[in-house]
Amino acid sequence: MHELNATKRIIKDVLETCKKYDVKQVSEIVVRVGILTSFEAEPIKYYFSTIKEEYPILTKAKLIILIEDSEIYCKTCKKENIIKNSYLMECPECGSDEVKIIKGQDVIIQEIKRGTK
Amino acid sequence: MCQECGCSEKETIQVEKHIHEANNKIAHDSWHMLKDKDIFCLNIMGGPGCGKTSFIEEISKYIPPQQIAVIQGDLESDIDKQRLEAQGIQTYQINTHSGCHLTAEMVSKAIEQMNLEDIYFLIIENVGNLVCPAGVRLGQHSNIVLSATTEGSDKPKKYPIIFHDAQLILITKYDLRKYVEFDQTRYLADVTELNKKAPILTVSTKQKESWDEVVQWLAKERQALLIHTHCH
Repeated sequence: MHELNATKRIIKDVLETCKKYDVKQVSEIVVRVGILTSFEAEPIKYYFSTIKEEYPILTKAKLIILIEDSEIYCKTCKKENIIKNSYLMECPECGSDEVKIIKGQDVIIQEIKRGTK
Repeated sequence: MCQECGCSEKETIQVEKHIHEANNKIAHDSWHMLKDKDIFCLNIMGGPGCGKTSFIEEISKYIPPQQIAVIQGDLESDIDKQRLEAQGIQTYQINTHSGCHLTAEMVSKAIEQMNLEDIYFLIIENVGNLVCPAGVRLGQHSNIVLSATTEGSDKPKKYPIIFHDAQLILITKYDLRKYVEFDQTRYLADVTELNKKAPILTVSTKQKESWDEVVQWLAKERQALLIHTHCH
């Protein structure tokens, strides 16, 4: 259920981009899903495979999901670090919890590949 | 260049678009609009039956109900709206039907319909759910997460994101802890791993004095917002 709205949003944004760049057929969509979003790749792919049939421009499109690790900026030691598979937001360099999440909380449409009709 | 026909159209279009961009823009505008009106906006999150509506009822015994407005999110029904209106609290009901959380647009449209004059606290009671509402910006200034002793002490481990994003965590139905063998030590250790900043308070509708600290926190945080100059 959670992923359904996200998938609809992805499709809406892809269609807008296609209109802007005059894309007539999409062959591939690459989406980065942040580890902190709580979205799972499989339900998004499932919903996409169902909904895309409503849009001729997307019927041949393959959806590729890349899971993005979280990245934090430490306000204490001023360093950026990737945090793998963890919700523990501590700087691995100095142990400070004065950190800002700079990656991993978003779903980003990375690129769209044109297909042939 | 296109490999099919040699035309100049690029095969790959770099998009780099955040799907929550539109939501976050609306949330940003609501955040500022509410702050400009001196209204502290809270997003109350927790599983079904954890005591979100009771939380509002309890604080309305300390804060005049006329200073509180509520946006109530549920899949169906206006049961909680009726409960809160019986306490004299202005309440706007949103029924999301199949939607598992509120969005900034839903909240913004609700705000347009409400009378926020003389309101100090706008409370958004999100759809009962420990997963989906987490991380969705609505325009709130703070997140409060409630989890009841009756839900078990493993909730922070199982649903880390919502606890990570909280500014205040309330353990509700605290009077029942001994009957449900709530492991408070484990719970506190697990929350602290995820979130070292949020105060964790224990409350019960059967222990009137347990709400004192909550109300103090609300007053302090509202004051901090009013002198604050940057958004989150």
